[in-house]
This record gives sequence, structure tokens and C-alpha cells, in this order.
Amino acid sequence: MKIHEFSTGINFEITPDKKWISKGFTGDYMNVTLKEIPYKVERAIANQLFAVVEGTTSDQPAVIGRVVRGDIELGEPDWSVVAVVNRGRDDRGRTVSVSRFFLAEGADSLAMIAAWMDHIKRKTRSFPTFNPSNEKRTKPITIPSEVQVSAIEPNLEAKVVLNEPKTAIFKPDENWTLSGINAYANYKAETENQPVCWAFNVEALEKPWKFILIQVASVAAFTRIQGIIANRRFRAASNIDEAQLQSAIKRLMNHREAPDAVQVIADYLDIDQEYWDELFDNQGAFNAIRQKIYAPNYVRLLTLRAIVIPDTLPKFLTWIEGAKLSNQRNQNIYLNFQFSLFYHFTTVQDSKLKIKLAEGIKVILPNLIRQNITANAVAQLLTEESSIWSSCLNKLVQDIKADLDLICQYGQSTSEALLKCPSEIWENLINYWIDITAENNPSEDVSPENAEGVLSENGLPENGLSENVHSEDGLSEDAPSKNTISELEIYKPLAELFKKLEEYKLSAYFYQVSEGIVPKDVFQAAFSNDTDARETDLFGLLLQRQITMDEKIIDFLRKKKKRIESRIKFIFPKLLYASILICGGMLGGMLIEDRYNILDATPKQPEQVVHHREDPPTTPPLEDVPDSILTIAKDSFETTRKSIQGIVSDFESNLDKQNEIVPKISKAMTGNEGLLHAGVILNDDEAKNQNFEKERNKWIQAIYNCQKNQLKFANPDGKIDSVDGVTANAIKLAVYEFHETQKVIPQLIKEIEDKEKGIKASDVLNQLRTKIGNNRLSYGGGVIVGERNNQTQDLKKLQKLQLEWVAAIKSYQAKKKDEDKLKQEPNGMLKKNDATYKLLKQELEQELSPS
Amino acid sequence: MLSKWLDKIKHKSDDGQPPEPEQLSATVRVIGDRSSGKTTYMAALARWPNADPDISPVQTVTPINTDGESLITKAKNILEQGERLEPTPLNADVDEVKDYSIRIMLKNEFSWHPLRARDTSPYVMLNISCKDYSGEFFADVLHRSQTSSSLMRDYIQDCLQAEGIMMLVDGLSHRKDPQYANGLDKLLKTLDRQGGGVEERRIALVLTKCEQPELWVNRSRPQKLAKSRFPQVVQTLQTWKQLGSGSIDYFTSSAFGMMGKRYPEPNITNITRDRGGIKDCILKNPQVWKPFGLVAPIYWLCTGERHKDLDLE
Repeated sequence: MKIHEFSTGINFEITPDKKWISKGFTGDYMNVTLKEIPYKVERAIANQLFAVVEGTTSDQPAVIGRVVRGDIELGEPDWSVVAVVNRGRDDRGRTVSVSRFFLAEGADSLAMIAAWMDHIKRKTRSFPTFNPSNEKRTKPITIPSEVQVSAIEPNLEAKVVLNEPKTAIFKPDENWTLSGINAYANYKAETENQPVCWAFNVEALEKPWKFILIQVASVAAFTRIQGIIANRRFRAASNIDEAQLQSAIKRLMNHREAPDAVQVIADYLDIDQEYWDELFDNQGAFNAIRQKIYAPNYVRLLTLRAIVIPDTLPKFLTWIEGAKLSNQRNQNIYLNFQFSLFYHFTTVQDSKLKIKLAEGIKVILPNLIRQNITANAVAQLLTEESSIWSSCLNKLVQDIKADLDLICQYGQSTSEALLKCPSEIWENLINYWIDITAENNPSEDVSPENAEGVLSENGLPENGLSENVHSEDGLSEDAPSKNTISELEIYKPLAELFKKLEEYKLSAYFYQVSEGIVPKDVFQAAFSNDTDARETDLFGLLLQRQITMDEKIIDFLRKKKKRIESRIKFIFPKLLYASILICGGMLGGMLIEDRYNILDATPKQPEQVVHHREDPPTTPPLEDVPDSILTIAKDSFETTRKSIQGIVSDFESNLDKQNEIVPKISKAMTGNEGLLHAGVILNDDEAKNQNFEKERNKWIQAIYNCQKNQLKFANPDGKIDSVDGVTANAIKLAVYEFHETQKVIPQLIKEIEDKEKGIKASDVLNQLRTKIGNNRLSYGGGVIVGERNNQTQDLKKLQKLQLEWVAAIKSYQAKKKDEDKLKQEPNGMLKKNDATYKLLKQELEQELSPS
Repeated sequence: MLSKWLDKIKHKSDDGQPPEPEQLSATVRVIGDRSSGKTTYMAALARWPNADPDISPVQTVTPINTDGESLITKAKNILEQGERLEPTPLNADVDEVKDYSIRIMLKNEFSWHPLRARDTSPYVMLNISCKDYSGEFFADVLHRSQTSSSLMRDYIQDCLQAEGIMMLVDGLSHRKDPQYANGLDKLLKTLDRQGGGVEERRIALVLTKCEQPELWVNRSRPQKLAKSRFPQVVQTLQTWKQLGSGSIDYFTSSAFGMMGKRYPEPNITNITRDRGGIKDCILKNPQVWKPFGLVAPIYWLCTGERHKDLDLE
């Protein structure tokens, strides 16, 4: 075996007494017997894994042995390295610490190097130490044959120390040999599956926690090192090139063009946060935040940290606001740095970076609603052109919408696991969901009459004259109770944020949630199609626009229009006459014109509050089915027929009465009860009828049009393949008149809630669910209230949830019929004031009544 | 009455909170010959021994990062033990060179002024990030023929980002004036050729070891002292300034300071005198260790203005 070596590079001179004096470092190594020093060995040195603390070397050299792992993938072998650190003098009279490194390939070679060094010591009374006059040495050392590695087993006492899961420290003892140290370290390394690393005769090491065994040079050193290790995590086996990471961070802090530094950061994005925290704190991140240090290099450091450790983003946002105020230059530094980082990052690990950035945004949301950070700061982060986080905006909006959609569908049963944003931000929304929706969805009660403001005789709006007119302070009298409001006010920062982000629909949603009303500008920006709109649905929530004083006056005028118009007709000529007389032609004319315009500005159409809840679909004239589709649909018609039969028999098992169902299906699909022929479906012999083909094609045409226009299929096919498909379910729901049930349920809840004081809408709904036998019935998301997503996939899910209601009502009816409490046949329907409705209402009131 | 009123409005902004201290920052590179006292300067600054904030304009000096903290350890474990600091190794990777971040809190010179008091904090913060290059960079690397070496290139690139360069010169090493002028000239020309980096640079020429009697007597006239001892260095700097590359100024300092007030003497023990005429010394009495002139150049590097009280310190 051969041992290579290299030493700290110095310029030197030899004194007459044969000692060397340093004349300065060369910045390189000398006496190198290898072509190139192995990269990993160089990195280990850079990571101070062979470094003793300055000022602690004694006349007796410190010896440090370590296995440096290579890289199997790159074909780099492991190296066994022993460094001998001793001190000399320089030409200025200073102590200089220098090192001589011995290394041999393979992890097993450390024992042999130790044995060889012990051998030299036995012969010369000293370990081989730094010797610059070996300058000409270029060949490795050949180990004499008499040097052998002998097996050394730690004694029991030593094993107790070695078996502890931390660095083993041994006190000074003359009997120690390097072979002994190495054997002990080897024992511990094997037990803990770590590379061997030990230090011998040291006073202080730069990183003692990165050793598994240390033999100290003095008792004082024992206490000192023990103290340091006690406060540090044992990291002997870490393979993170900490020095490289520190350098990369420093380089980016100092704003040197650094694509390679960005690459290093990107490579390590996955390492645990604790490690990153330590690295950034080493550079002063902690102090910079705490002491509000707004220097440019800290702007860069903390920006980088906010990217790499998303948890730090909220604090960073507060800090950077201060930094910008402190010095305008910081704003540019902050943005320019992000821009250059983003540019370099996109060339390396874009996906990992995106995850980190998105995580940061998610961390921000809870802090935003807790008002730890301002909506303005978050908006800037997401919109500033150079902001690296601006790439997260779309995803954030999507995620928020997805969550709101989910909450809308499942309300209080929303599964946390399915939420995309941190569930804590939705906690209040979910808890109060029923209160918000039920109380905020007065459903059919909204009528033009009571939505209008009423003016008192003196021409001013009277307070509280209408349930749906909101006072100027932005609170609706119809809004949730005060307690609920205070819990929901937390969403106001989200409303403000999305307003700034120009995501007006979301802004409107959160204004509705937090304030019970949507400011007019936000509402109109969100739903710009109709400037007169005052309400609309979004994610199961009825959004109500703030009504201004002007509008109230106009509403009043509309209502009283006829009376006023007649008065105007009477007054107008007199006014005109008087005006001309008093003010003269032009002026008088303008005044009259203005006055008249106020009244004339009211719309010509019949007055009504524009209400954007989805109207029942209107049926356009039936389109012809393209030939190619018609041909296939004809071939599959038998399947379609069976499916429709299934739907019919599901509704009505009595064959005699099944004929009555077909007109309902016909109406649901075509808007015309009599358009579709029942026999084509129900009569197996109908195919022989001469009109069969014509009637069948009408069915296909009806199905095709229903799929295309009502269900918005991308590829309508005019077929019904199963009794559970979207088309079949749509027909079922139509036959069960589910649109009626949808209207009636919120009314039922509201009626009971209004009657039974102190009962919340959510309680009523839950009791209703229990009563009709299914506690998991979904309420929002368009199932009963709200709007659904347009995706077909969601439609299918929605239908399924709606049919669950139908089934529950049907089984309730059957049960009550059995109990003789209901005479009505079970039909799965709930209609205002029908027998089922009355019974259900009565039973719910009994259950919920405090007495 | 008037003073009460002044007190009332003093240091209060409109919302009743004392205004945030003004923050001034600078990235600094410390250059100079081997053994010119660069690391000792930094260690003494970070340690700021025997601070007297009642008298001194300097309120506190605190390290921000671990490199800065390591200076305090060095000061305590080596300088205060009567030992000398080891030479700073010439690191092949300039990003591995220690970057000392230090915050200095000063009394605001103008905070007493009634017209400015209302919106002025009583303090000013100096945040410096300071790399202390190994003496070999100045003494050796700059003179090597292969100026295109990666080490040289990296150091120059690093130096370009610094607004301030603090050139430390052992006040007694005047025999090396031509050598220093040559090195400085080379550095400035290389920086200029390289381009980029900061727009306007400040270079502070700081004479160190001014506790030595021959320097001490002229410590309050730094420019005169520099001119008389290092005429060529000063000439090089003046030429650089005339070319519009930035500004220069001169300072005197001592990392070890003086002992005694009436009959002050250097707080040092001489240990050797080498062939170059350089005295080497260690701290004599850590109990009364009081460096001087360490913050004045930093204030100037941060602001471009001299601080009268710091100059007198």
C-alpha cells in the first residue's frame, strides 16, 4: 500500500538551525504526490473537518484521521486521510498553523496509515510532521513491510463510552497510539454505521460535533469540547457540503453573478429546514430580523431564505416593508435580486423551486387572516413584475377556488385532507357555513318588492324598511348574528387581497363572508355583465351588492313612478313656464332637462331586481342530429330504450301508471310534454309500428339536444348507455322535479329557524338530515344551493348527491306511510305545503322546540 | 420651560414613537500587507473592550453573523491572553473568506439639534459587512505575473462589489511605501479595467499601530502623517481620486490603544523587531484595553463624511 501526501502551501526559508520560517501562504498545496488532490478530500478540508481552532496548537501536533467518502456514481473512491497539524513561525514572529495530509485510497486504509505513523513515532519519537523542505517529494510513501495492522478490541470500560450515541471523548493518556484510537473509532463507526473519524491530542476543534471520537490534549479541553458537543446535533455522518452551501449563500448575498451558487442552492433545496435555518442564521439572518438590519446584503440573504425556507416568508414580508421604508434603494435591490435569482433558478431546478414558492404562499394565508401581514404586502409579493412569487398567483387563485368549491359542496363535512390551502384558514368558514348560506340565501323570498328601498314621506329611506336593503355601514340586517360576524371578519384581508389582485369574484365572495355585503365597485368589477345586478351566486353563497343611496332613491322613484309621472305631467308645463320666465331660455331648459332625466333614467322594462340565480333552462328549438351521430344512436337505441325504461320503473313501479311518466321526460328534454311517444319506450312491439322510425328519431334528437344544450356535453351522442349516466340522472332529477325540492328545502329551514328563536340554520339542516335518514346529505355546491362547476365530472358527482336527497325523501315518505302518518305515495319530491312538507316541518319543529 | 418643551418634542415622531434610527450600510474589503494588523483591527472592533457609551459616540458594537462572533472569540482567547493572532490563510475560494458582519450603534451627531430633533432618532446604525483579505493577497498575489489566475480573478470580482476599501498600513512600515504604492496601483488599475460593481468607491487609508509614540503624536493629523510617511501611496490615491473613480480619506488607529490619561503610554509589549523595521507587539493589559480610531474610517466609508467626535476619540 502507498500513502500519498500534500501539505499547506507556504513560501519559506530555512534558518541556520535547520528550522523553517513561513514567508506567507501560497494559497495552494505543496509537496503533493498525487496528480490531483481528490475533490472530496479538498471539500472535507474546506468544511473544516481537519481544522483545529486558531491558537490552540501546541508543540505536540494534533492528528486527525477521517474516512472521506467518494462518489460511487462518479467512480470516485473513498479516501482515508490523516492530517497532522502543527505550528511554526512566520517571518513576522507570528505562530502559524500548518498541516501535512497523508492519504490512501479506500476506507480500510486508515488503520494502515495510523499503524505507519505509530511506527514512525516509535522510531523517531515524533509523528511525521509538516516539513516544507520535502518540497521536491513527488512520490508516495511506501509502507515498510514490518508495519502491520494489529487487531485492537476496546475494553469494557471504553465500550460504555463508545456505545453512547454521541461523540466519545477520551482524556489525555500517554499510552494512546493512533492505531488504538483508530480501532476504537472503528468499533463505534461500525456500530453506528458511520465513516470513521477521530482526533488525537487536540485542544479545540472547529467542528467537534463532526467526530465520533476525540482524544483531548488536556483536561481543560475535555470540558470545553464536551460543552460544545452538548449544544450541538451529532452530525458525523452528514454528507452535506456545508462550506459549499455557505459560500453559495455568501456569494448571493454579495451579489456576485452566481449561476453556480444558485445551482448549489437548488441542489440542496430538499435538506431539512433545521439545517437551512442554521446556515442562514450563521450569516446573520436571525439578527437581521430581530435587530431590523436593513443592509442590502441582508435584503438578499433574507429574500433567499424566504424562498428556501417558506416558513420564514411572513416574517420576511414584515421585515422587507421596514427595509423599503428605511431606504428606497432596498426596494430595487429586493426586486433585482429576485429577478436574477428567478432567471438562474429557472435554468436549474424549476419544479422544486415552484414547490417552495407555493409553500410560502400557503404559509402566508393564515398570517394574512390573523393580520400579521398586510394584504398590501401580499398583493405586492404576488403582482410585482420582478417578484419571484408572482408565478404563484394563478395557482393560488385556483387553489382558493377549488377549496371554496369543496366547502360549498360538503359544508361542515368538508374533509381537511382534500383542501389545498391550510385548513386552519377555512376553519371559521366551514364552522359557520350553514349559517352563512342558509341565512344569506333567502331563496324565493327575494322579490322585487321587498328588495327595494322605500322612502318615507320626507323622501329619505327609512331604516330597516327592507330585509335585503343594506345599511350604509355595510351590514345587512339579514346577515349572520354578531358572533358569527366577528368570527367571519377574519376574511376581510382576503377580500382586500383579492381586490388588489383584481380577482374581483373572490374579493366579492370574501366581502360577503366577512362583511355580509359586497361593495358596489367590487361587485360590478366581478360581475360586469349586468351593471344593475344586485345579487348573484358564487360557490354556494348569495353575494349581495351594497346599494347606494342614489339607487335607493331610484328604487323609490320606480315604485312611485306612476304617481310621480302624473304629477310631473301636471307640474312640468308650469315648471317650464316658470323657469323660462325666471332663469331665461338656456339655463331653465337645462334644469328642466336634468330634472326630467332623473325620472326618465328608470328602465323602460318592468321593474325588477335582477336576480342571477340560475333560471330553469329554456329549451331552444330542437337541432337536427348529424347523420354520423344519428346512425350510431339508432344502432344503440335498444340500449337507450332499456335505460329509459329503467328510469321510468325506478320512479313508478306500477306498469299502468308508467305511461304518465313519459310526458314528464318529454318535457324535461324538449320542453314539450307530448313531443315524445311513450310507446316507443314502453311497448316492446312498437318497433313494428310504421311510425316507429320517426318517433325513435325524435327521441334521439331530444336526447342529443338535451345533452348538447342543457348538459353542455362536448360530444353529444343521442344515446343513454346506462341508468346511472349523466343524461339518465338528469332525466331522473327532472322527473323527480328536483328543482322544486331545491327551492323548498331552504324555505323549510328558514321557516323553522324564524319560528324557533335561538335555533341556528345549521341545527335545522342537521335535524332535517337526521329526520330523512341520511346525515351525510350535501347541501352547498349546487346540490341544494350555490352554483356548480361546469365540468362534466362534477356534474355527475352533483347529480349523485342530489339523487341522494331524492332517495332520502322517498324513504322518509315510505316510512311515514308505513307509520300511517302520511297518505301520499312516496315520490321523492318535496313541494311547498304538500303533505310531506307539512309533516316534515311539523316533526322538525317538535324536535327543535326548546320545550 | 423651553427646555421642557424641547425635551417633549425631542425624539418623538408624530405617532409618539421614537423614530427608527437611520441605517447606513457599507460592504468593505480590508486590504494591506501581511501583519499590517487587519484581523487584529477587526477583532478589536468587534470586541469593543471597555466600552464607555456615556463619553464615547459609539454606543455598542455587535457582531451580526457567526464570522463576526468568531472575532470576539479571537480577541478574548488570543489577544487578551497576550498572544498574537495567526496569519489569515490565503483561501483559494474568496467566498470562503470570513465575512465579518458588524453593527455599530452611534449617537446621532444631529439629534441634539432642536430643529432636527423631532424627526431624528438619537442614534445612527452602521451595518458593515467586511472581508479581511489575507495579507498575501496584497503582498504577493497582486504582484504575480499571471494576473488572470482564477484566484486573482475571484478576489477582484469580490472586491468590485465593495463600496469601501480600507487599506491598512502599519504606520512604522514606511520603508515599504514604494512597494505598497505599487500594489495599490495595481489593484486600482485592475478594478478599473474590470469595470462593473459599485459606481463610486471610497478608499480609507488607515495607519495602524498608532499607539507607537512617533505616530501617536500626529494621530490627529492623519493626512499629514500619511503624506509624510507614505508619500507614494498617498500620491497613488490622489491620482486615482483625480481620475474621478471615487473618494479617499486618511485615518489613524490603534487596535491596542494607550494606557493612562495624564501620561499615556502604549498598551503593548514589544516582542520582536524584524529586518523590515516592523515592531511586533502584544496587548499588555487587557483590563484597560481601549483601542482608538477604529470606527471613524467605517463611518466615513458608510457616509462619505467625517465624524468629528469619532476623529477625536
